[in-house]
Amino acid sequence: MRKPRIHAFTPNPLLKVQLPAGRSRFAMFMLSCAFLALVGRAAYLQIWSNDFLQREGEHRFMRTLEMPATRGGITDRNGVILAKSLPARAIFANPTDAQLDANQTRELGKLLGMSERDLSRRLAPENKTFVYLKRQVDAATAERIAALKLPGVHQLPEYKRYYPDGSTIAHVVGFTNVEDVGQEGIELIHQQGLAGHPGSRRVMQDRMGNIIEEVGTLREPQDGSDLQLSIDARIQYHAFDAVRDAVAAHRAVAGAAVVLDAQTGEVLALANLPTYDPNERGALSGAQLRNRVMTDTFEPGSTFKPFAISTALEAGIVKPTTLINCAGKLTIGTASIGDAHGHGTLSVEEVLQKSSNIGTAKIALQLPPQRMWELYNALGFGQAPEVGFPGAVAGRVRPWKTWKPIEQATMSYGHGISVSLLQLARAYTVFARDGEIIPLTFLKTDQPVSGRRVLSVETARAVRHMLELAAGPGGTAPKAQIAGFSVGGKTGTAHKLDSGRYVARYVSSFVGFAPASKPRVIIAVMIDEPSAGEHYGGTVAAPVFARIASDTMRTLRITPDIALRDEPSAAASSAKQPTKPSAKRMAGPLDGPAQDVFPGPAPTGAHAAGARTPVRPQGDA
Amino acid sequence: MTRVDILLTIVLVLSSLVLVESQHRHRRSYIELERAQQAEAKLQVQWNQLQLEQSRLTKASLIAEAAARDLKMQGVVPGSTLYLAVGADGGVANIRDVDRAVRGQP
Repeated sequence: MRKPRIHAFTPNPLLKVQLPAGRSRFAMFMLSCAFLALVGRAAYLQIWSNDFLQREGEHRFMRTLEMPATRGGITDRNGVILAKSLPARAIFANPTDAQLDANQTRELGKLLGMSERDLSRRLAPENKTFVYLKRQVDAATAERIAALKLPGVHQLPEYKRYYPDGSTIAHVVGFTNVEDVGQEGIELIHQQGLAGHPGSRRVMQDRMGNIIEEVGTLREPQDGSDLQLSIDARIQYHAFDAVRDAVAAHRAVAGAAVVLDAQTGEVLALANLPTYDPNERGALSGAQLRNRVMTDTFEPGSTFKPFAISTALEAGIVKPTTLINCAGKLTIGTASIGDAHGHGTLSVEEVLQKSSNIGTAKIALQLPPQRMWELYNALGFGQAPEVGFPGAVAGRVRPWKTWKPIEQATMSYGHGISVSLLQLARAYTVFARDGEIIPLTFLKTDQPVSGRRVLSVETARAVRHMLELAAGPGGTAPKAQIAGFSVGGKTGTAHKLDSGRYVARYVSSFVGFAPASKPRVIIAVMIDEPSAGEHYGGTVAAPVFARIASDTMRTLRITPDIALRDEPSAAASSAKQPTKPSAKRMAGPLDGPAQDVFPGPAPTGAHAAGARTPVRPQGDA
Repeated sequence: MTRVDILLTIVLVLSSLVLVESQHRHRRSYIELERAQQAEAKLQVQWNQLQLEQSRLTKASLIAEAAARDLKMQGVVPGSTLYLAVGADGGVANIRDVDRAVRGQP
């Protein structure tokens, strides 16, 4: 066994020093205190500051990310895009950091489409810490700007709204501002539904910035809902084109047209001139922005005559065949009423056909004012139409108690009263729908519309027949005729008021429907101050109606009715040919198989030779 | 008892390793998902862009202009339109009938 090793300590005098016991206790106490302090600190960190520290920790790897939401798009009834938002970027700078050399400034200016001077001025470090260089920059350009890696130049995501149909439909769709908030038209009135609501979520990110885990969604993003309008972009184009050509040809100040679906109350087209491009809103004037169909009122003139006459028919005061002496002038008090062209004795039917002021006034004066007012009121005149569009005006119809006889007379032919073109077009649904008036809408609808009866079926049909005559060869608007379809309608030529006096400036209008046998559309046209020599509604507005009606019939694929009718109207004599009533189809390209198939009434004949004889309307009536 | 302890320790270690591994896999697939979603959003934007482009290029005014200018086409007027009767079976009329009608023959 090995002997245990004995350690021989080096004798050290210090070890021999006897220290007082208190010192070691003191040291022990101090160490305990320090230890306690550590425990206390640990407890403080673990228990009391836990939340704060946890939060601080999370800040190192947790992020709250915004989840963008897009504004809803707007399409026409066939899904053609009228407005859509695309992501864009706002380019901003921090002038104190943005110290760009001449080369960089030039490059940035080129990409932003700004002059170097303008750019340098914006970047001048005058106590500004934030300045927008340009907003709504498209994504591709923004990427090229980002690639320049300029100091102090940053980007923010935003959206830009595009309107592919531009000025053609600007007044219906309206536009948004840079913040994507609706400012006009449908964009304004449907702001609530169209606007998107961005959401946000908590995510965990790794060192590389990758999202590795989603902790939770704070708010779901909500894209704005898409909106489908009742507008048909094709009809809109035809209407706009026709109005634009007419305004140019007649050197008019403005023009407008509206096309309504008589069956559903949908607005198929609404054209306005002058117009603007909603994509380029730099310099907009009030005249461009005005929606003349909805927000302008005018004295309707003769287009108003059918209402007084239908009131008289309804009241049983006259019949269509009742004769009225329309010769000379009609004097009421100090005022006298005349006709543009002198007439002799006319039947009520002819009064409307030839648009006699005297005849209409004489018929109206037999009516109690209240009765006339009631009809005007029932047709929506004097009340803002509930059509879901901003700025639709009420027009002006004075209460019947204040009517003087002369006023009642002038009102019967559309003076001393003011209406909007939309109100006028809507009121004509009463003739197109056998006495019912229907609400209008700018949104596509499949629901059958329920009308309100205002006139009896007999009265409405009688007036419709008169309107068909008025648009015929013996009427005031033979130029409203179109080949293949019967039409009805009424012209209007009203003097304009300037500081309370009628002046030699006019509003020419035409309101009508087609096909007259079973009206499908109502078209109202207004040309403001035609100044190229002609100003009568029959020569200025009626041809616009004919053009729009013809294009609309073709676009909606409506079966021609003139050749089908047993008694074609005298107006369409050039287009009629005797034929068996049978379903018809329109040939497509003549050298190829026929395309557009027209659903018509049930075919009556079999494949007999007679039934197959083609009918070819000859030229425009 | 000790053997059970060792076994449990091994199981615990293995399970921990698998947990780490699966967490890692989860994060990687989440990154992939995130990338795919971003790509989806990008494609959605592109789709919208293309739709818009299509709308812009198929504007009625552009088509009408191009048809009249380049193709020398004319608008359809009812006067130059041929209306044909359809047989009881709803069938399309014989193309010879169309031809005859165009030439103005009975």
